[in-house]
Amino acid sequence: MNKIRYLTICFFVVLLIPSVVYSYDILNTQTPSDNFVFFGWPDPPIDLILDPGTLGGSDGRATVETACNVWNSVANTQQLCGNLFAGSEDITVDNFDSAISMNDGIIDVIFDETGAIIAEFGLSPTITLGLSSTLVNALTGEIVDVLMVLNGSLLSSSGSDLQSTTVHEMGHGWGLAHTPIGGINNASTTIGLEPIDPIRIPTMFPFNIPVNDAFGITLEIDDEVGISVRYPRN
Amino acid sequence: MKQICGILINNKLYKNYELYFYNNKGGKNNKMLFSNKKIANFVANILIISLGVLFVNCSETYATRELRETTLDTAKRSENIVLARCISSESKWNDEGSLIFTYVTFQIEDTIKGEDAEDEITLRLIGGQVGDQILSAPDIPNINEDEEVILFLGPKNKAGYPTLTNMKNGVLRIYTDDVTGQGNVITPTTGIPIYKENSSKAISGTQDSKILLEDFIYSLKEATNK
Amino acid sequence: MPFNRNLFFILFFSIFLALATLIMVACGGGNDSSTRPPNPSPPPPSPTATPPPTNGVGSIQGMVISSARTPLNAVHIRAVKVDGPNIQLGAFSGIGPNLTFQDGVFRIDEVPAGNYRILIEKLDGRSPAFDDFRYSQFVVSNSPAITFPDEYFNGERESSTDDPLDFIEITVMGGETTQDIIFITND
Repeated sequence: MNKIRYLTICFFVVLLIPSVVYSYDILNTQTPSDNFVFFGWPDPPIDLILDPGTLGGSDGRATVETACNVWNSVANTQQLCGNLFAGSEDITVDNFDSAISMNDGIIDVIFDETGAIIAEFGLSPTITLGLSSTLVNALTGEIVDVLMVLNGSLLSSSGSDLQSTTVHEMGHGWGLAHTPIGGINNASTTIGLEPIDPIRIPTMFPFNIPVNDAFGITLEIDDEVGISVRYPRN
Repeated sequence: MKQICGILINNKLYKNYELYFYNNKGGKNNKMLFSNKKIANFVANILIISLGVLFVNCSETYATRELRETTLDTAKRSENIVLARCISSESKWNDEGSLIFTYVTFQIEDTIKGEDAEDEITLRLIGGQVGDQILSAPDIPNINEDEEVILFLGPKNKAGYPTLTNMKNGVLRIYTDDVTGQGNVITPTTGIPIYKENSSKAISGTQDSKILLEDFIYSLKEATNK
Repeated sequence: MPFNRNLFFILFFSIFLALATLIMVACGGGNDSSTRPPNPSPPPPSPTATPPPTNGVGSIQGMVISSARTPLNAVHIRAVKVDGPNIQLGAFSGIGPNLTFQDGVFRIDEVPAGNYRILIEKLDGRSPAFDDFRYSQFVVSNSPAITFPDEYFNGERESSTDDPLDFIEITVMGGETTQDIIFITND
């Protein structure tokens, strides 16, 4: 009984304690000489070209603009997001492979309204909220171009937030990988040391954030340190 | 003055505990009160109730709903589940020169769910390396040649390739035990009661664990056929 | 004396209020509370000899090695700030100072000055978020094949058979690097 009582106390105590958390990982690859190189844009800010189609039934431009502002607001970090341009044609499953360009150094943002493009990439549009694919020089880690796909067929459903997904995928676009911070959290049954509150789970956590996915719209210190280490202002 | 409060277990069997309050006034760690077992038990009871009251007040803030998919959910959404061995993997640019895809071909060794399909199956996944250029796609499993996996497959896409039902659960790797030589599956959040092969007796619940391949396949068949 | 229910509740409520007040005072009103691990049997915290520093940011540097004294890469390290607001920072072993790759070495920069507990955790598929394939290629290709439990750093008591929940607090000073955080996994 004492054990149960103690566990009960710990349970309540843990739920009542807020925590602020950070950790990060930067995308990298192994070169032929067995070294690893980190991914990164050589000369930000980077322009983006946006699918003129709809995202979750509405214009996705405002969503991307907000995500740009989030990343451009990190202290001691270079401005990463440049100009936003509108593409000339709605990108769909019928034309995506010819409509995008992966050699112009401009991030292509696709609003995949039906999820069919996600499926063309071999993935399930039922659970894939978004995807960023980064073209890099395998010898230097220098990012050449990025394709960002946002799944408009899922983003309006409960438990997932369009804006959070956009900020997350843009983080990949800069070269950030996922963070393990959040794997042990107060909303999960996974047992581990030092769980954190869902509201403090970093945006680069690989899943939609429990309790309220909109928590992912704002960056946590983890995300901010990661991006500032990769792109220090000076 | 820096102070610390905490409840301490008094021995490893948790038979007794004591409630302490510490402060380090004067640079010393001072234990303050409640080492008497009866008093400690009484105070702890009140503390539990107090925390319970606080929790009830906060419960709306902490109301949770986890949307992660279990392996069972993935299995239910899958049209086909197969045990397969990777026989080739090739990355190449598409005809338009805009994207790199990796074509991974498998030899099917066993059909766990769905109709017996072809002897071979090919997935087309975004990403891969061609020359000095890598199209990186985080989250997409990198499958090596001769690797044995369990594939959870959804409907074919417009180009005619099956999709992975889930990125993690969609490709379960088979790990060979160095000692026994037996294959194992490590899958978190299975949601599947695990049985010993050809037995109706569950050998584990639905917790994270390393599961013998034969048992996992048997249990998966049992779970998806219900 | 017959049982008086009203008296009982008054007594109970008085004790409740007194205890709540005591906790608030002892824990600094909840804003400066020391977090406790959720696991059921953590040992008592080590006494802090001096008040924690509060200014600037520093770094934590150390190494993760196996019981066979082999450096381990791709182990996730977390530093947890002891006093509020609670802050945690992380890194992977194998990535040292200035984003250089050094076997077993880890470094956590931009650490707000203060006292910390430090722990290691393996990316081993026990939770979907810990699946190593979700991380960078370095982590994927180096994720330890051996099994070990999560454990705290416990200073001189570190060994391959120590109590995973035993910990010491380390101090990070602004502009300085706290070094020699050597983890020995219980594999």
